[in-house]
Amino acid sequence: MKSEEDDKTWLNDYPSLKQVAKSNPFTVPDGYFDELHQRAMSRAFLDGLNANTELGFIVPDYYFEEFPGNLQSRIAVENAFENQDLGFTVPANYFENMQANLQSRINIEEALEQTNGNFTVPANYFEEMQASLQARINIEEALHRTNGDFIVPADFFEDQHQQINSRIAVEEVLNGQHEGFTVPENYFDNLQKAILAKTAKPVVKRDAVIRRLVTSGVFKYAAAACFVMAIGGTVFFNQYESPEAKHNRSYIHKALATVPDADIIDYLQTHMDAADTPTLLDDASQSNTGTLSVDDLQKYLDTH
Amino acid sequence: MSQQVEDEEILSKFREEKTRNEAFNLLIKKYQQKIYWHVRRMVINHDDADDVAQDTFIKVWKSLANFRNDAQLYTWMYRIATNECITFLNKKKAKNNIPLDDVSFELAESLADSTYFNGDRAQQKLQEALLTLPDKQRLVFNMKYYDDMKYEEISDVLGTSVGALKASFHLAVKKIEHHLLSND
Repeated sequence: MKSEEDDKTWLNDYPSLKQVAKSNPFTVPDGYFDELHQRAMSRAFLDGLNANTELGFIVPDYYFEEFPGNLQSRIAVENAFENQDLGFTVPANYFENMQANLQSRINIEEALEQTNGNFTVPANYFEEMQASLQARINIEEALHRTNGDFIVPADFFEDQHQQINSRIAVEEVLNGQHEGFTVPENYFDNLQKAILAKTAKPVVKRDAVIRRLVTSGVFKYAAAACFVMAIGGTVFFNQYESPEAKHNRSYIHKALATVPDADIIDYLQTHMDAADTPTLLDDASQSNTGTLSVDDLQKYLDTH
Repeated sequence: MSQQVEDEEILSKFREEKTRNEAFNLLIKKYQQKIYWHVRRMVINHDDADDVAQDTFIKVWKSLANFRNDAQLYTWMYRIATNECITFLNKKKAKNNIPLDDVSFELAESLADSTYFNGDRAQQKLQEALLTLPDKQRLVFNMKYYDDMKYEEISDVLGTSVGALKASFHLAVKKIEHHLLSND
């Protein structure tokens, strides 16, 4: 028994359709099916990757859960910036009451300017004010005149009291300084005894060994010869030494050597008198004035 | 019988993670032409058929893990391809905001201008007659006339009873015959 699918007799009832070739009239590009499975495989893997990784992009955890809240916050911030609130607030009805508050403040300021603040002055204060000031000026000037034209350092009197107190405090400290120290009872009584006791210790006597430096008799004659030569040399050189050399070695020369000549001249002009002239001449004759004659010196002194 | 075994082998390999890609590759190679021609006869244009066929295999890749052996893999994939075709045609209608009849006219125009159609005049007239049918009748006719599928298999694909399919098929044949006779 033929099945329904195998029975093609139904086409006999449709002659027009029966005449049409059953072959597939459609074609595909060359090699299409060779590539189809490759492209289908690629698309399948790509689709799998897309499903797993959302094209490789990831978002932080709970991003989409928090997205509505973040968006609302962003909108609130944007609205705040648009309204220029910037986070500052004012008390309720601030701007409604601002005009009234300003008017009240202006009224108060004007009232204060018009009145004297309820302060009062004694009767005829302003009439007598000029006379009082003049009197005060006169008093100040009189006080300044009593100073006898002496002046004191600035703020002298202001600092005087403080300086006196400081001085008193220093004096008290200095006066009481030694009283702050004490010594043991009878210290000074025992001090002398203690010193004497230390100094009265018996001295240990030691037997010294005396040794003769020179045992020969030649030393005696040599020492006598040296003494004679020293005495003789001194007498010999003093006999032939010049007066100028003696003067140079004298005490007066050494003492006056450091005194300037102008000081010596001033002293002589102030303290010399006529009685000193002979003495001076005698001394000049012994000094290094050999090039001057006695007459020249006399003439000089007479004129001066 | 051999096909059934091969389907079982494909499904077995697909269940293993390391052989899943291999199984899917085998599945595409085995059914790509049947799926393509089924789609091509519905959307007429090759490029559209290519897109819909690939979309069909993507759906198969996603859903194959949930496939149950109470249906044949072949009919299951046909159902997916059929749904993709209907979705595509509805989108085409909504996109162009034109009636379905005008869609059929447009498809007939593309058939005449198609590079990848080498049928004779009778075959072209048959395709034009098919485009006058409702999509479901066209599907029944194509699967019965070109694919030689049993009504039970078509019933599995379309979810329609065998009796309804028989009535739909004969109604479609009458319309086609009328169309062929009227345009001669």
